[in-house]
Amino acid sequence: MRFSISPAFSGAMLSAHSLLGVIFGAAVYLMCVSGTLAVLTHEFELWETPGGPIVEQASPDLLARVSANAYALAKANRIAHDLYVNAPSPETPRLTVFAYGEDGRHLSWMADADGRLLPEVETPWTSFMRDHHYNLNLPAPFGAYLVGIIGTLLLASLISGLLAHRRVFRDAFRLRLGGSPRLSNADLHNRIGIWALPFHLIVALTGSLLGLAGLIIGLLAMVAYNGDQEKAIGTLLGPQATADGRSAPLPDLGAMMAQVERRAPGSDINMLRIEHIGTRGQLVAVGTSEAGHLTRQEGWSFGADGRFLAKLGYTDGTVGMRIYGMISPLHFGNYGGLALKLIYFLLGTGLCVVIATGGNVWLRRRREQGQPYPRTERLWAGLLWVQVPAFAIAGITALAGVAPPLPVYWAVLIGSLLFAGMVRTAPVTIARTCQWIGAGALVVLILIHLATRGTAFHGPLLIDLILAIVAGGLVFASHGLRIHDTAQIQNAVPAD
Amino acid sequence: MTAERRAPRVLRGRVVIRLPAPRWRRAIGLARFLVGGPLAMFAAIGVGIVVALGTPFHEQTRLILAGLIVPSLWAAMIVIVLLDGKLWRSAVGYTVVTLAGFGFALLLRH
Repeated sequence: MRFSISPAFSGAMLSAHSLLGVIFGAAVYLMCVSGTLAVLTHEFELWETPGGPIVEQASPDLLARVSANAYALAKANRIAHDLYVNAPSPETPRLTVFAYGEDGRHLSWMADADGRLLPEVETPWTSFMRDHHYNLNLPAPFGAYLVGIIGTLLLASLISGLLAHRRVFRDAFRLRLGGSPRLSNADLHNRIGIWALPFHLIVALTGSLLGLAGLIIGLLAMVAYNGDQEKAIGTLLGPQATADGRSAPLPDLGAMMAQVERRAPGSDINMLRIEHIGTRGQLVAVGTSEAGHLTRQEGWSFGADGRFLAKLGYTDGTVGMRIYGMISPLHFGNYGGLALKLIYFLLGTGLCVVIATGGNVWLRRRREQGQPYPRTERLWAGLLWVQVPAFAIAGITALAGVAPPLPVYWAVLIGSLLFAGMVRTAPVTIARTCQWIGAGALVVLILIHLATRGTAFHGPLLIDLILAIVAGGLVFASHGLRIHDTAQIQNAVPAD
Repeated sequence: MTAERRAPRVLRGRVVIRLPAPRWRRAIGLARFLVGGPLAMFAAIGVGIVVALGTPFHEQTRLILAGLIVPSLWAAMIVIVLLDGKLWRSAVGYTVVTLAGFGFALLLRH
């Protein structure tokens, strides 16, 4: 198949691609690393709290009982504004309840199979990792907007990278490893970039939309709905709770769920959400699992009087609603069980490799052109390889209860970058040091996890196994770097 | 230990962006950022508004399509800004698209 792009166009496109990578590569890389980890968020939650009650299935009766118990406790603590009940699923055998107050305070519980509420064990590391990906641990809504902008920049990089490549199909199977480091990096960059392009495009576009949704919908609503953002949201999410704050009893949740079961026989109820709970303006949303659909979920709304209001239509509604229902599952890969999550994890790792090798190619080329940036080379090597040690050391301190993960992660990252910026050593030495520290930290993390959390059931052990594989991969990569770069080290000593 | 020092290689068949003189580089970089950043975003939202209001689909479908188009178009516009040596063309084009999109919404409102 002949696919021809003029050399001048692809050259200019390559310059644009390089510029995007040089300016924004670090931010995109951070986002992709945390995104790769975030695919396994539920598994990490179980890994951090293996001692919690295991609930394989929750009947409507159990869900209603748990909701009533949680409402009573939330009311006693004056934070009963919205209540969320998440039913267990095959991947996450936990029954969890969250209560939010108007002032942002919240309480959370795990429930056992009898409906008893137990204080939820904290998951500081998983929460930090998830927030790192959702909003870079920055305040709402700016963190999410920044993440959305980074997603857009990744999308721009993918578009420019694809158009810069003149021989996509001819070079699809070319991989020159072991020779020139620049060619090896370029081939890895191009091959992984091309073969995984559909995945990269999907996560970049959906990530950009998820991050910028508030901003885009806000601006569209301002113009298209005369500034009525609630109307715009209501168009997509169906009826909303109203501001009628007069007190009202908790609606008959059992009757609502029975009605859903009549309307959708065979569907499992996986979520209850009661907004403005205990008021005349309250609204109950019931979510059901829809195994045969990519969206994985359908939504049903009921009013304060128990009247059925609407079905959201993720599975059989308008084209727009079906697409809307797919956005989140497509981004997080939670529509095909653990096997698909592991595939997403590998593809996410591939995207990290694409970004890493892209930076390496640019730096190698500068060096070959006689204009090396030795400090940038060291900083880039540090940024790439310190991620594993930073996340692992943050995990160690969190599991041991020594320090919260957020400051630990940033302290390790910034400290490593300062060190890499100051010492005059080869980037490959920085990379190998980080790899060994990362492998060691992962082994310590696994041991601490086994010592403090035990091995109650198989789920958390899977995460320990993945961590062990990553540690082995780091040792292997370090060995590969030693062989590969033995001849290059002399040349790579910085000249700043 | 020695520092590497090689003669620059000529990359045939490749167009290298000619960097402006240093005193203009920062100003042009800032202009490129403004055109590719906020202006391109508003232009993409302008197109999103046209899709949200003017396409013959169900209201929900129009909103979702508009939502998907905005980041895709914004990304493409960023690439165009970086690709085009003449920044003014992108600036004018995006301004026209922004005004057309928001103007279309105003026309429909009245």
